[in-house]
Amino acid sequence: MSTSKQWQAAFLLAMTVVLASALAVASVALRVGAEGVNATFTEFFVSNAHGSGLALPREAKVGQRVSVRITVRNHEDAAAAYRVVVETQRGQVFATGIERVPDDGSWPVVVDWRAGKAGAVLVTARLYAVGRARAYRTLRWWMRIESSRVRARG
Amino acid sequence: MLLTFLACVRAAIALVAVAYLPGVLALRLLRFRCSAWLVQLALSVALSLTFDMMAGALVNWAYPYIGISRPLSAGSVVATLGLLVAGLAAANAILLPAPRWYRWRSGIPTIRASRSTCLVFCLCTLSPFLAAFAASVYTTFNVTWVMILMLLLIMSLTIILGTQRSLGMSSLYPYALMTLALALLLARSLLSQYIVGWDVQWEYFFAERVRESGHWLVGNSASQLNSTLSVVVLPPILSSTTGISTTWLFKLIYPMILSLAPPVLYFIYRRIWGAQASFLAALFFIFLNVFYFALTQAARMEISTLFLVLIVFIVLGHEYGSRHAMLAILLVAGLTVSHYSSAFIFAVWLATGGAVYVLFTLSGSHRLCVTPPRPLVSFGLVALAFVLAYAWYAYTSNGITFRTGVTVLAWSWRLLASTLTFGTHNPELAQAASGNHLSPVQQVARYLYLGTSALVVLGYIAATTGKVRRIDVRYTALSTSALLIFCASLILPGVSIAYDTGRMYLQALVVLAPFFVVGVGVVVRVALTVPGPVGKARVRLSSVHAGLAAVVLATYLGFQVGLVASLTGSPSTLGLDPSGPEHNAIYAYPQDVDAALWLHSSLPRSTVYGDQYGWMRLGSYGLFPRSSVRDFTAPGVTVSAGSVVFLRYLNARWKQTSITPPNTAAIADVPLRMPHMAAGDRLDTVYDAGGSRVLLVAPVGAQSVTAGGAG
Repeated sequence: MSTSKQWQAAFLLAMTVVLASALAVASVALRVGAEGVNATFTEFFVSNAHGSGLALPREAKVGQRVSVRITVRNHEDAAAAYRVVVETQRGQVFATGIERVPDDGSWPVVVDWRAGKAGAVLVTARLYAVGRARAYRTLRWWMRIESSRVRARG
Repeated sequence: MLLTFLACVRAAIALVAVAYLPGVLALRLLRFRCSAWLVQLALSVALSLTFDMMAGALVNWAYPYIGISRPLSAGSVVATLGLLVAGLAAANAILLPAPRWYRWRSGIPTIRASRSTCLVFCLCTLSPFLAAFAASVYTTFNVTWVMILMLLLIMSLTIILGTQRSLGMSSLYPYALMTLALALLLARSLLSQYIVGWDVQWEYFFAERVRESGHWLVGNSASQLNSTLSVVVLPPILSSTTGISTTWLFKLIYPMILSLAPPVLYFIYRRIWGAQASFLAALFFIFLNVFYFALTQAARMEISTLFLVLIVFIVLGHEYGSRHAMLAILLVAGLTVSHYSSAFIFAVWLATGGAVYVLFTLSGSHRLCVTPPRPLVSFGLVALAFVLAYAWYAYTSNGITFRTGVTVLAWSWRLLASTLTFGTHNPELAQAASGNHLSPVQQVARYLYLGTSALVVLGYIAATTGKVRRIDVRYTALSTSALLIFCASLILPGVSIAYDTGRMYLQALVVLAPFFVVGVGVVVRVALTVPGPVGKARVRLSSVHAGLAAVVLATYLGFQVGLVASLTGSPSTLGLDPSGPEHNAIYAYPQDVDAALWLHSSLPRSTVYGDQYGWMRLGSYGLFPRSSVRDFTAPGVTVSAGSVVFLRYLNARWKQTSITPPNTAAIADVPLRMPHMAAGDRLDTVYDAGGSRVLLVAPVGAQSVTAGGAG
């Protein structure tokens, strides 16, 4: 093999090593550095005092205080500001101020209100993120509110 | 980035120490040497894996007796393997005092090659890196053009390598097979940050449970997957020594192990069919979509396929002495503990092959073939394959494997009987025979698939009847056996559902693939050129024959992998179509995984319903056993009160699933219909990640909510 051919072969091999290394580094960098498609999001869920596990109020009596713990967990790849609002069919029963949550941080919110009229109540907790017009996340659950007075039968 | 680099260096060093060094030392002790460096590498890796799995199983059994409750924890594994490898090295030093360095004589691409050979070598080397990059780009941006470029590169290399038969180019064949196979495997396995696929979800579950607990629970009757060491022992060992997570073991390391199989196939075929035909045949093996689609979803089969191919390499070798027998025994042991179905199919295959060989010999048919120097297989090896498989799975799986086998056979018999007596319609056969649900491109792909299969059969008939050339009777017997078993799997209706016909076809192609090349020659009426005396000459393909086979293969890949569908705008496969049915079905989003983990921590003992892939994801992340995770899309399923519904990203975000039983759409719409539902039919949304949601069903009042009829 002539010297020029050897140089060409060596150049090709060197280019291959460089390109392969570049592709490998780019692949790892994309995996480590960049979030995938739909990989930034916020979790919004009912929790209990320990942060995990479910403690959902199902029943209450009229006038009784209802308490539920809701957690916001930020995976938006940046700090984000949130607000939580809780409503029933009759209107808003609870609202927080705007809270800034760091990336990968959690914000536990203890929602507290007094139960109104007796009957089936649909409780809706909405999470608003600053910069978004509509509710970003929504939780819903049904509660049975019972009258505190005992009716005479017959 | 520096830490990532150091982690990669640590992983590479540990991987060599655990997945290569024990095998090298064992091969030296056996005084076994193969001239092809890729086969030597494959043997070293396979023996290392056998060594790791056996050592892990032994440690798991013995250490609790001496007070070590977590025998498969990182410290225990590293110390034990270190001692064992040191023991092997010491045995080498004592028994082989004079260093015998191997001379790798063939298979290594050399810089003395021509410019074009050097360029092809470089492109082959780049293809796996390009595949990894393409998968990363798809995962990060949902962009497919890099993947398309990579596939076009593989198709071009197929035609260039398949049509050139210069010495330099043919010396690249084994290396090209390894790199192209790895590229196809990585292009699939590296998609998403999480495990993608079907069986691999359950494998991940079992591997993670063992890694977390540091102990393998033998005899756990939850699933037969728990009895395969390639799933329950190998990942914890590799993970604890290399620092690579189970997810990335399955996504990166297992495909790398499997990519060693195609070069071994090449060397099996080359003994009979010559270099060019063998290369094309091995390409046919790796271009079957089962190789890169199904095997990347079944980690245990990635390991067992390497063992299977190596055993065939040893069994069909020209020499078979005591060291070969020892090697075969070790590989059979490795195959047995790697995958139950492969172990039993291999045992049956070997026994049938032996019987066919005896029949050929007795009937005089072997005169059509080259007289072999020795029998195909010893009775002892067949017996060993059966006994090992039986003993291992009777001990480790509480007989689930056998119950499954009996159930499948009974089911097959009922279906077969009903088909033969025209008692009932066989839906499975009808579905296979029709194909009305396929798009035009998929129809072409299907006919191409059937056409290549027909070429295999045609080539087999031509070769075994001596129309083409006389071949080794051992090879003929083994390929006849493979064909018979594959046909049996087609005829017995239940088997194709229980095991998957595609996987059976891939295993049969281990020996049948060269007949595809022969079949192409028969169709174009080009005989294989046989210069020199029969039996010793190498086959050389004519340029028409090789060119046609290479073009057919490139086209076959284009259709099989979904490239043609992608380029023509039809729904395509995962990796080529971010909104295609396959992507929607099995792609894993972080919301799905976080929701599954939340469910596991918040509602661990609930009965959970998900769509077909949703409950699979839940199974992967801690909600096994399957009895507690159900598929709400199955016909007739009623979502009971007090249970939980898991809507994964694609259900919740776009109200769609790729599965279309009548009740699917209804469930996906349930959150929207909730305010209008009767008071008794309550659905509470307790988790919302934008994509995935978790719903509680009818906690108070209602008896049940029927899927499809809720509200």
